[in-house]
Amino acid sequence: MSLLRVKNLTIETSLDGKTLVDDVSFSIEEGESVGIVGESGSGKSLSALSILSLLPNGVNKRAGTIEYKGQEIASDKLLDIRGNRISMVYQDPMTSLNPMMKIGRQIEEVLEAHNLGKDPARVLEALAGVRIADPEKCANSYPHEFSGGMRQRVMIAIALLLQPDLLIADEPTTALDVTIQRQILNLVNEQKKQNSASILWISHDLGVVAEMVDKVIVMYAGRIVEVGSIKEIFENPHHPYTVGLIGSLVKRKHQQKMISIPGTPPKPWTVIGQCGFAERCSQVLPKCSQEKPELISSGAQSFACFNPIEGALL
Amino acid sequence: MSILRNRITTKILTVASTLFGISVFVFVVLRVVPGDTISSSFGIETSALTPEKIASLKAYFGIDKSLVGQYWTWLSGFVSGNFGLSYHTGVPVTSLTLHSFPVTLELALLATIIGVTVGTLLGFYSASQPGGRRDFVGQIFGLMALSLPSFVLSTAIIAVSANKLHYFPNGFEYAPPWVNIGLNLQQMMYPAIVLGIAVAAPVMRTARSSFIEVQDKDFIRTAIGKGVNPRRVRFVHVLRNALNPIVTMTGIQFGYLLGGAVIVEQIFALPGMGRQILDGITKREYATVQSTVLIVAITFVLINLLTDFIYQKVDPRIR
Amino acid sequence: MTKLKKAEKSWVFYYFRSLNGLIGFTILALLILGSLFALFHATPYDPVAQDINSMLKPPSWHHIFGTDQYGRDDFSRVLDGVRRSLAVSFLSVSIAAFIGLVLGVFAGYFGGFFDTIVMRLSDVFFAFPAILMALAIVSSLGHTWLDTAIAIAIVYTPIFVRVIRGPVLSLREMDYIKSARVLGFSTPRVLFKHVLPNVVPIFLVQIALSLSWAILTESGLSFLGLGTQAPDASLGLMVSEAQSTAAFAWWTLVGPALALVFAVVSLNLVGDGLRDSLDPTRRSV
Repeated sequence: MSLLRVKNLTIETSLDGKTLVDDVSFSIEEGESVGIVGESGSGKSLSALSILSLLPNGVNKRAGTIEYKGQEIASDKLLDIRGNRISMVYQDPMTSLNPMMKIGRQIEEVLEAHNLGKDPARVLEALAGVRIADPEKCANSYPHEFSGGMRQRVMIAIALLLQPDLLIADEPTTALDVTIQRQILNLVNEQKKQNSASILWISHDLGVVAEMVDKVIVMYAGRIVEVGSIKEIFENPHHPYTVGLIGSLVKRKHQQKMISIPGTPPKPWTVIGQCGFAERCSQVLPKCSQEKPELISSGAQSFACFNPIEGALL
Repeated sequence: MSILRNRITTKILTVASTLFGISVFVFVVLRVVPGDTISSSFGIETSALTPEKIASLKAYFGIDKSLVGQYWTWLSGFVSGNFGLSYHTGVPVTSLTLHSFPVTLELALLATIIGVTVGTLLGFYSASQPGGRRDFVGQIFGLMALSLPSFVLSTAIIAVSANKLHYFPNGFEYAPPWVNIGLNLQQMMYPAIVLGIAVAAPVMRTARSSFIEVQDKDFIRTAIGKGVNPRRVRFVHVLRNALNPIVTMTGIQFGYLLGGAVIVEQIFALPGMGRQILDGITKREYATVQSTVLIVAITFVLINLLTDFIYQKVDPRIR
Repeated sequence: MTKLKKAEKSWVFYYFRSLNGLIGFTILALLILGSLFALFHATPYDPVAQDINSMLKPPSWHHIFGTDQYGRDDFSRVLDGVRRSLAVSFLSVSIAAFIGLVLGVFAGYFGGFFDTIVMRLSDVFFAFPAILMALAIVSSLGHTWLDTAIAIAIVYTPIFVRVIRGPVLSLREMDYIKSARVLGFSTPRVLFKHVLPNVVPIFLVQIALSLSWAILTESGLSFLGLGTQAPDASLGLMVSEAQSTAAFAWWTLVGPALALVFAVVSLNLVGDGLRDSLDPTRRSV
């Protein structure tokens, strides 16, 4: 039984029903770390947010089920699961904390929300756990007194306070400086080992994801285009988009001029019933713009392509 | 610390210079009032007055000096609590004001309580469904309340009340709350509701947009993601963060209330500051109008200062 | 130049696509049309003609808004009152808008001592509730419609100064304005070509809102007996007269009240419509 199972998730705009995420399914096993990679607009963040029903205004889930430990998360159980069994760290630490509330209070709120009463000692312990030098002073401060990196540490402390089974990290390092990014990545890795939690790591950066997870889901234009272990994806990518992603990564590592995939990603609702990548694909077939490729498994790996790239890349 | 002291000094200097400007403005505007105090108070008997009598009357009213001298006499008297004399009755304006100020203050406070409560709740209600049915209802109310002049609403209320309830809201002599609290509240109810509605409209509009803005903030999502009950999130996180613009708007509206009181007090026969000013204007009494208008303006400036301090207390970022 | 024309066209287009703007414009156009009838003495009856035989008659085909206690036709009086209200508010807001625009642009653009003086003065004006200040000014000026207009103009000038000064101040620091100055463009050229076009939207919205406030202030003054004097018709005066008759003749209040509310609502809606159509981020799709 999987820890988390997302089935046929479809997300649309509330106003005019435009598809933003199209029939996405994946699962996370206990202790497993999974990454979702894609450009902005690929639906990766929306998919992550919908797990805890945190979709922004103007966007809603049209179809699909989210199962936690084999049971669909019903709305009455949601309050218990959020912040307790599954918790989340967000992209922008500067705006993710309430500016009017002391940091200690904001951590304590997690305890109160799950009927664990007030426990100042536990709050300080959590702050010390994310390597904050003076937990007491921090707990008594307001968010604006801290830098982005420090605030992201606080967010991680909040997320890990109740030792969740799953930590969803929605691009938690994107808004930070490179050196701070490194610190946060190390911190999460360390905490993952201590808590033996599963992680769902969302990023546009395949390089970062490769460091953090065992399995990668590649998303493009609202759909999953390829799934596989880190090793398989890097050594034997099948979808031309994945190949392009890896290509741009390799080039960047070698300090060469970055090559990007030509064109811009289409809006998901404009490519219903065809392959979303067809217009930018180097090996497009006539069929690609007439029919939607389904995700098919080949061993542990799966991909959605009519004309996959075969054979090792490197 | 020195920055803080600096800010407070600047604030005090600004307020002081504003108050000075107000006193000059009030003095200049009302000194150009056409009509001579003595002839307006003695009517046709003025011609029977001897020049000595006129001179002594001028001295008595303090209008025998140069304009600057008159300003100085008035201002120094004002600062020491002597607001001048009412020409017709000879009653000191200070004692008139002691009676009228509490009336207007009570009216303004009641109206503020009604206006802020109704406006905030309605804004909250509208914002819970932006663009939806609730929002439509709230917005229509806001637009109507914004566009309905208080004297029209007052006249309508009195007409309906007289016709259907046979009750005349302006038919009794005013009772201060410490004499008869029941009668006092009964007298205050309609005018407070009229002014309260006028305050509620802009407060509602401000509250609505403030709530909508805050609801979409990332930290609201964080709070919900922590497992906090969404209702609690609305009342603790959203409300607290949406408060600042509402406080500011309330301060601004308080000034409107002091002005709106002129009309409403007149209609509902409440002997407040507004009526005192209007009486002064129709009877051409400089001292009364000058001093009363200055008191209202000072009250308004002080209320805004208070709003500023509340603002700073509410927001830790500018403490 | 052609580009500018195109931009103008587009906001007018967006204005009429917004429901608020459309409703506001329609009501306002009807009110203006009605007041044109009054202006050319084309009202059904003479607004001040008394008729002892038809006192306090309820609305009928002869008098669609009924008659008042002197037998005057309320509909004709309302039209004449709307004409006066609109005339006073258009005049006063034009004065306030012009002076406010000039002072605001200069204060914001040149800053310094002039700015300090203007801002201090506007602080003083802001310390008065609008109606109270209008009251004080009117009491020394007099009670003709011109006096009322001047008083209202004085009251609303500082609002225009503030609304214009803020954006001009931040525009001055914008790179493209700075570079225009560095390139040696003359000050009038920078002001007219680069600064003014940017404050037009906020200026127009402010005009619409100020017009609605001016109508409220004008009718308030008339109501208190400090504006238009009897027997001339004015909406405020009509409501004031209705105080003694409304309890048994509701129409004496309803006619002028509706005209007032519609006038103020329409200007508010026009303001909303302008705000939505002039700000590209608020345009409804």
